[in-house]
Amino acid sequence: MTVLAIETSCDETGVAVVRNGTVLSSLISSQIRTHAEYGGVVPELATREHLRNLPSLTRLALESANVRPADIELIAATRGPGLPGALLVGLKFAQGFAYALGLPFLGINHHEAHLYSAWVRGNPARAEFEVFRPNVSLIVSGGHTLLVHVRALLDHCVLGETVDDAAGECFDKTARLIGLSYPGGPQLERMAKGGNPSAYHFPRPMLEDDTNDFSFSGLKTAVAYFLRDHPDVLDDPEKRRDLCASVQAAIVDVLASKTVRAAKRLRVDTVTVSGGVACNSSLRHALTMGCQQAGLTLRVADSVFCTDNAAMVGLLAELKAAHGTPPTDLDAEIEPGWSLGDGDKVECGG
Amino acid sequence: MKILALEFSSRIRGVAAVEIGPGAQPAAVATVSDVGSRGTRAFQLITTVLKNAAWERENVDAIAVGLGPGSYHGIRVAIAIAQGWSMGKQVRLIGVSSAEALAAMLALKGQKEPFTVVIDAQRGEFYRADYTVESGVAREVGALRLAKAADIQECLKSGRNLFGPDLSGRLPGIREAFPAATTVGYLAARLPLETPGASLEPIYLRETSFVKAPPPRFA
Repeated sequence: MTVLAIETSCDETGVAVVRNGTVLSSLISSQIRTHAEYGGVVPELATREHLRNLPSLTRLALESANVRPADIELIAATRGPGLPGALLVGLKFAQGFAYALGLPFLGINHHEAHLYSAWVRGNPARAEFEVFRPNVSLIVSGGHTLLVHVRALLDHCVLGETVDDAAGECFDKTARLIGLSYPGGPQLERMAKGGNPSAYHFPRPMLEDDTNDFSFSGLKTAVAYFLRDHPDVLDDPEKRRDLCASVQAAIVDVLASKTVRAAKRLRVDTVTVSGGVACNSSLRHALTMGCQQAGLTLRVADSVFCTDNAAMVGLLAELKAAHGTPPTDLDAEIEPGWSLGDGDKVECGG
Repeated sequence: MKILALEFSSRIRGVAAVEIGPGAQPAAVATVSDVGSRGTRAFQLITTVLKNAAWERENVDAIAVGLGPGSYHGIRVAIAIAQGWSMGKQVRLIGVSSAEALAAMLALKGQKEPFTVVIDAQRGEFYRADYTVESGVAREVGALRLAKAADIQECLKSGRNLFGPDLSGRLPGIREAFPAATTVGYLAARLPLETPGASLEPIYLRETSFVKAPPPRFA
C-alpha cells in the first residue's frame, strides 16, 4: 500500500510517502527561523507557513519517492492534538487530495504515531513491526510529556502525563531565564556540556510520587528563584555551564527514573522513547544506563523520527489500514485536544 | 471550462459549479450553501453541487476560492482543500477577493447606486471597499482597506449604501449581504491567470504585531 502522509501539528511542515512499511520519502520544512525572534512558536505564523509550504513540499515528497499522485492508495494526516490553525490546513489539504482522487483518508493521533517511531530503523528507513515487543513508551517534547503502556500493536493505554508544563517546555523556559536563544532546549544542552550536573541542586518534581504523572512548572520556578538569588552565576562561564548541567540533570533524572520504574512495574522488557526531547544526549544516556541496570531493551527513535515528521503518521496509517481501521469521514474536523487515552489511566493501573 | 467555486469567508459557506463555454458568459450550473461556524461540511457541499450539476469530480478544470477578507478559518479550509485537490489532480487554482465577489453579486441583483462593502475585521475595525455600478457591473473606486468604526458610522450618516455580512445588528443601517460562491466563480472565469497553490492565501491587510522576545544574552 502506498500512503501519502501530512503532519502539521505545530511548527514543522512534514510530508512523507511510505509504501509497505518503508519510508520512500520524508521531508520536513522547519519554521525555527520564523519563530526565533518571538522566542517561541507563534500559532498564526505557523499556520501561514504551513499553507505556503504544503504544495511545494508535497510535490517534492512525491518526486523524491518517484511516486505519482495516481499511485497513492491512502491519504493520512495528523488530526490532533496540536495547534488548531496548523492542524486545520494540513488536515483539509489531505482531505482535498483524497477527495480529488476518490481515495480513503485516515486522521491520525500525533501521539499515537510517536508510539511507533522508535520502531522505524535502517536505510531506507522501515517499520520493524515484526520485532515489536510490548513496551513502556515515553513521548517527550516541547508540548507533551506522556508515559504510555503499549500492550500490543494498536493497543495502548496512558500511564501518566504532565500535570502542567511539558519537559521540553521546561527546557525552553529555563533556557530563556538563563538568557539562551530559541529554541532553548538544544541550546541548554549545548551549554551543559562539560558542566557539573551536581553543582546546584534543583527539585525532582513528583519523582517519589507513586503515580506516573510528571510536573515541571515548579522546577522552572526554582530556577527563576535561584537566578534571583544568585545573579552572578550567569556572569561566570563555568558556573553557567554548571547551572545548565544541573537543570538538565533534574529534568532527565525524573524522566528516566519514572520511565524505567513504570517498565519494571508492568514487567515489560522494552522501553521506547520519541519526541523532540528524545534527541537530548543526556536523556539518552540516562535511559541507556537505567534500562541496562534493569535488564530492559531501549529503543530510541532515530533523530529524524524523534521530532515531528510525517513518516510516522504514514506508517501508523498503513498499519491501521492493514488492521481494518475504517477510513475517517472526509468532513471530520481537527481535534486540537485529542487525548491519546481518554479515561484509560485507571484501567491501565501501572 | 468547469469551475468549482468555494466561498467560505463568511458564516454562509457556499459552493457553486460554474461553467463557461467559448464566447459565452459564465453560468451557475448548481449552487448550495450552509451556515457554518467552526465546522464546515465542505465535502458534503461539494458532493451535492457536483451531483446537482451532473459533473464528476474528474470534470473539474479549475477551483476558485474566495480569499476574504473574513473568517480566516473558513478561508483556510477552502484554500487547503483547493491546494490538496490540485496536488492530486491537475486543476487550475484561482483566488478571488470575497469583497469583489460580494460587490459583483450586488450589481447582478440590481444595485445601481454607489455602495460600500463592509466586512468585520475584529478588534473594533472593519474592511471596506467602495464601488460604483456601470452597465450593471461593479467598479471598485475605493480599494479594500482597514477602517475604524467611526469611519463606517460617518459613512452611514452620509446616506451611502453599505452592505456586509453579519453587521446589521451591530451597525444598524448596514444591509445584510453575504459573498456568494456563484460570483466567486464568475469573477474567476474572467481572470486569465491561475494562482500558484503556494501563493493562495487569505487577504491579509493588517500588519502582524506579535511581541518579540528580548535578544538572547548568550549566543
